[in-house]
Amino acid sequence: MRALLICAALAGIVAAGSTEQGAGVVIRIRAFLEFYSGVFALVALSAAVVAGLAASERFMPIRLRVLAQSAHRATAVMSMSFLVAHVLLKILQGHASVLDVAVPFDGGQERAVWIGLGTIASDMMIIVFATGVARGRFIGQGRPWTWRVLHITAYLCWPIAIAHGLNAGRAAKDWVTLSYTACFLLVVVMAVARLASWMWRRGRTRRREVHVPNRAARDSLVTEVQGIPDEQFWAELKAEAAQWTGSHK
Amino acid sequence: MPRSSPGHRSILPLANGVARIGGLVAVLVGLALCAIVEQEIIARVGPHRAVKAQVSSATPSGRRPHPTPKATRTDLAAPLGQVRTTVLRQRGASARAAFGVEDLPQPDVHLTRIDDAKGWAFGTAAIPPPPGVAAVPDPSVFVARRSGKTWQVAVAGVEDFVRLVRQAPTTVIPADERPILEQYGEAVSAKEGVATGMTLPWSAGQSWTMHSVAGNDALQFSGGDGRVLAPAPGRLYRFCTRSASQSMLLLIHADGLASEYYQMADVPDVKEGALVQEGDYLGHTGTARPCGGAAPASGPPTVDFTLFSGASPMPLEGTQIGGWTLHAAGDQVWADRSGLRVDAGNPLLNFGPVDASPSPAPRPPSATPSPRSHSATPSPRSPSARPSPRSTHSR
Repeated sequence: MRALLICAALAGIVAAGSTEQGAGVVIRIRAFLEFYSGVFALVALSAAVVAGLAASERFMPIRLRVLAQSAHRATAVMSMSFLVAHVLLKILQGHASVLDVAVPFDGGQERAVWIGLGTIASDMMIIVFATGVARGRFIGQGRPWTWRVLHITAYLCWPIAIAHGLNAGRAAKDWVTLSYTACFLLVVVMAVARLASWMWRRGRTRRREVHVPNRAARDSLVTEVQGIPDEQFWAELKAEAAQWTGSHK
Repeated sequence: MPRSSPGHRSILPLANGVARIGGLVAVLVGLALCAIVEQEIIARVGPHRAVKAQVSSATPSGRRPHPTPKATRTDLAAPLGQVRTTVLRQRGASARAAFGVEDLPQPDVHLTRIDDAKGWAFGTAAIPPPPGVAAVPDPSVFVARRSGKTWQVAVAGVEDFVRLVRQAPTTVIPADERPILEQYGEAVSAKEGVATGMTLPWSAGQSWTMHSVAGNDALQFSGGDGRVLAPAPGRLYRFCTRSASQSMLLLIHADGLASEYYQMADVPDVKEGALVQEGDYLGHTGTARPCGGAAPASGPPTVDFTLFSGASPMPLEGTQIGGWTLHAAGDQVWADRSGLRVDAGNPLLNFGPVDASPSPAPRPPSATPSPRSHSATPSPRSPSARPSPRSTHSR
């Protein structure tokens, strides 16, 4: 049903594009996208990183985490669509060649270095996005950390994308640079907090293993406060993932 | 199912709704891209109009001779030398100002037509910038008349030019080129704010990048499919024709306006003085420098574009072209249109032809962008665009 709607919309768009009125509209849309698609891709990517951090934050209530997870999914999809638009339009404009999509630092254009960073960031984004979409396939097989390692390259991809955004195109205005820097610092703070809580939890978990026979009430309280034990977390995540991917494992 | 606290509504429907928003945006962007690609295909695959050289109608008995390569060197040396000195004398001041130097290289003179028997000649000359100076060569059109052993040369912009154009035989200046050359010779240098009535020199719907040429009133355009198209009807004249496919072009339009194109490659073999229609192919962006001036050919392929009112370059500030108003302050150049501002280095979109008739230079400058130039008439090939006033926003 949805596919039918999309096909009908596509046919309508193609027909409208060949009229003169439609062509004028298309030109304005094109100008808008040429100017803003890169910006939107980066903003959506930043939102996806923040939402992803929120969604996997163990101290957050589960309802907010579910909401954050869907926000993470939505912004990731939007970012991907704006990325495709951005790359396609830049190729049509002649600012990058088709080869630049995959091979960085290849073209001899001015600012080739910054454009190459965009290539690298977009390649990483594709991997991050693909692992996110195929999350369900990673559950129950292999080590739990495989998926994490792949998906966590988002932390590397995002600053590269920011560097590309600030330098590969038009000169960034001051408020743009400031807001990018502010977003960057915010994410750094959240990521460091995440890392700290993870290391803290691992430290406490290890210590708890050493004292296994000691099941004092104080310790079990500490366990609850520190966070959800792994089994419950994975069970919840698995159930949630089954919802998204439609698998019935 | 993720466990929600008993008594609370499940968060899932809201979460699903949020996720669907992402999908919706992606579909919309995809549809927009389809429309853009469709238009791009139409623009590239659609019928290209080759430049039609105007067959000169009703020429009198003497056919207009092509540049006489048969003439002996001694015949040409006199006018060439005379032309060079005259061009340097009459155009030297403006060239020195444009290049910022004191010593000028010798001009590159091209005799378009010479009638040895009657002692008349017509041609073009370009003063190239000295090596190391990034500037566009200074173009000039001249008429020369032999009196005795010497040649009297008049460069466009000088009083004698119009008089000589009127007196020249049709073998040297055909009848249909005369009016446009007279207007060119009579036009006064423009103040700011000329509505040229031209469109941008590339296909409608494409965005090219605009750069300034240091210190000059010239622009560099690059990108798109690289095909430079005539922005208005006019007559085509060549400069620095060492190799025909790389010559510099000057298009003389009505009302004394002219546009110059440099660094192009693949210039088609059009007869000089031919009438070129708006949208006709002029050449491809490149890095050629046929006029000399030994600047290394580097960087992306571009076309250097300058506008002239009569013989003097039109200042960029306030010039309206393709519905955009150009501004220049110091080294910075930008274009704006109904509040949308595009800085140098950013994509400049060609919205299509404008319907404004060019305001001739001698009239006092139009200080405000005339509303005429912001509307567009539908034309068979190009899309019409109706920009609506937007609140000023910059990135």
